Amino acid sequence: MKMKVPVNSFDSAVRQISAGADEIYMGMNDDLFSTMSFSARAQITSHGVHSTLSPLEFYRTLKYAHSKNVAVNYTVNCQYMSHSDNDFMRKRYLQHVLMGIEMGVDALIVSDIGNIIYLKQEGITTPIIAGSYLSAFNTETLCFLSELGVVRVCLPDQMKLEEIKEMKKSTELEIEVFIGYGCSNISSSCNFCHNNGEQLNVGVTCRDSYFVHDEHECNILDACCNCAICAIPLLIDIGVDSVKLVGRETDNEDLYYITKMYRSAIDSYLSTGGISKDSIISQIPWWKNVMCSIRCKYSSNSSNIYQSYI
Amino acid sequence: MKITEMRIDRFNFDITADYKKYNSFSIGHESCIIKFFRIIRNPQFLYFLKEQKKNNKQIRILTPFVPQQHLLEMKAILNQLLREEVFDESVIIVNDLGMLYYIHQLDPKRKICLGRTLVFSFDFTPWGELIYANESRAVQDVIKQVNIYDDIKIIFYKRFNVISLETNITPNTLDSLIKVKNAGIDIFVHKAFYLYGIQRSCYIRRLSSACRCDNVKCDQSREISLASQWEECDIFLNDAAKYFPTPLILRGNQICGQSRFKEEHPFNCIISEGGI
Repeated sequence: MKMKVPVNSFDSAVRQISAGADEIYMGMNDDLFSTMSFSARAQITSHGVHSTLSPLEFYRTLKYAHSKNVAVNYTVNCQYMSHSDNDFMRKRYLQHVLMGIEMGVDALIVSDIGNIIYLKQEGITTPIIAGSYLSAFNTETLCFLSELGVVRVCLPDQMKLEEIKEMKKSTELEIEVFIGYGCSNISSSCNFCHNNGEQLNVGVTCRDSYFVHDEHECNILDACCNCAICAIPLLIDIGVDSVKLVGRETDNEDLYYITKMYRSAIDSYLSTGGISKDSIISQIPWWKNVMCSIRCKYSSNSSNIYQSYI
Repeated sequence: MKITEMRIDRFNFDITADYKKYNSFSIGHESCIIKFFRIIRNPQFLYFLKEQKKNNKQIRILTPFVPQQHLLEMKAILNQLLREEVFDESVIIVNDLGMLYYIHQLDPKRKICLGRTLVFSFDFTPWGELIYANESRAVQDVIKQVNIYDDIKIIFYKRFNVISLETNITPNTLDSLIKVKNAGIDIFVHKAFYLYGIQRSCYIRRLSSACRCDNVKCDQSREISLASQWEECDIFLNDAAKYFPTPLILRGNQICGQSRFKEEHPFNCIISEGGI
């Protein structure tokens, strides 16, 4: 089972690879845009974080990753593609994709059906990974995406373990699941977009605190399972092909320790047949109090959020 | 002829009220598979729809995203529904690409409507204009459109017998929706509220110690307003607060808000009794 980690700079790639990433994913700037991008993140967020890399840094990072036998997934997963005069936007998108392919990326992450069809029509043979915005909640969606020619599908954040197992059994496609921070809302249909280039720091709407009926205050929209440490052995046993961390806008050092922690869990299970959870999560002192029994992913006996899935 | 549709997506839908002004009904649920199963199996609603059909009213079936654990049951119920006389000509509204694929295999002539959760535009985000504000005019023109306004997608979806779609509407998406309509895809707009997001973890189940559905609470909408933010943000600044759509309205696993589009439009209209 591979572990895929986001990077937003050469330095972050060096850190994440040293922490144990098997695959990295990253986007590239395109001077068509001021702050937006062809990726699902802005080139520069309202926090001033660069989420995508300049072409030169992208190339340097890719070469470094390959020298370490780490595969590079190229995020060309914008959701907004629509009609443009003389099809200029899609032609530019193709140029942008081809630039990454010429540099040597190993796979493309694409989240728009029109873009998948278009890239296939244009003869692109680089493997395509269907991004989570395509919301593959069931095996029928896997069949649908398989017919479009993708090789891997990233399942939505909000899956149950048994569902992943059933879906993995039913398909020849590679299956990827999220293990780290994710979304409360189903991302494909969420209209509280953030980190897309907005000129305002809007935070994360689903993590905010709300007055309910003007009475008590609570985080009523917060429904995110953020930790899958305990589920790592189960995901390996199921045959999941790739686990994915998120956070192209996350602090690199924070992400480094998260990557390292999951690497320990995977390696520990593969070498000893078990994991020592307490020892593994102690690498991040605050993790236990914030996560354990509260935000467990893929574990029905602990997390209230997970159990409340419809 | 413009269609004005009443949505049957709540348990306490009043079947005795006067619905003469509506020429269409849709039954089911947009985002909750459990509620979909319960609504669609309600014998009183089915009887009501049969009576409406006798009066030449259009009947549509509204389906949500379908998590794998509910897939077999969903397939069984679709197989049954599509054979029932009351639904023999019904368009199916899908909010799941897998269901689009499955229904087309099951009944290739069945007409499909793309649900609201399959139509995207950055302009549906309350602060959407601020996302593309710094881009060139040409880029802005693309970004603010609905992403279905795309020849490749329109041709592709038409192969699946997609004849219509449901959507939020904003002033900036209006033109692209008109062009989608001109391309032969009929448009249904929700009258009262926007859909800002859906969750798999319904807040009603989350707040219940047993994580179970509560049919009564599920029908009620609940207003919430922003109290404080998770991290330091600009949204409380005077010039920024206007972008936050307060109050938000929770309806089961849906997060909604008041529609920002008050003008007349040339599209069909969907009205839900739920909440607002």
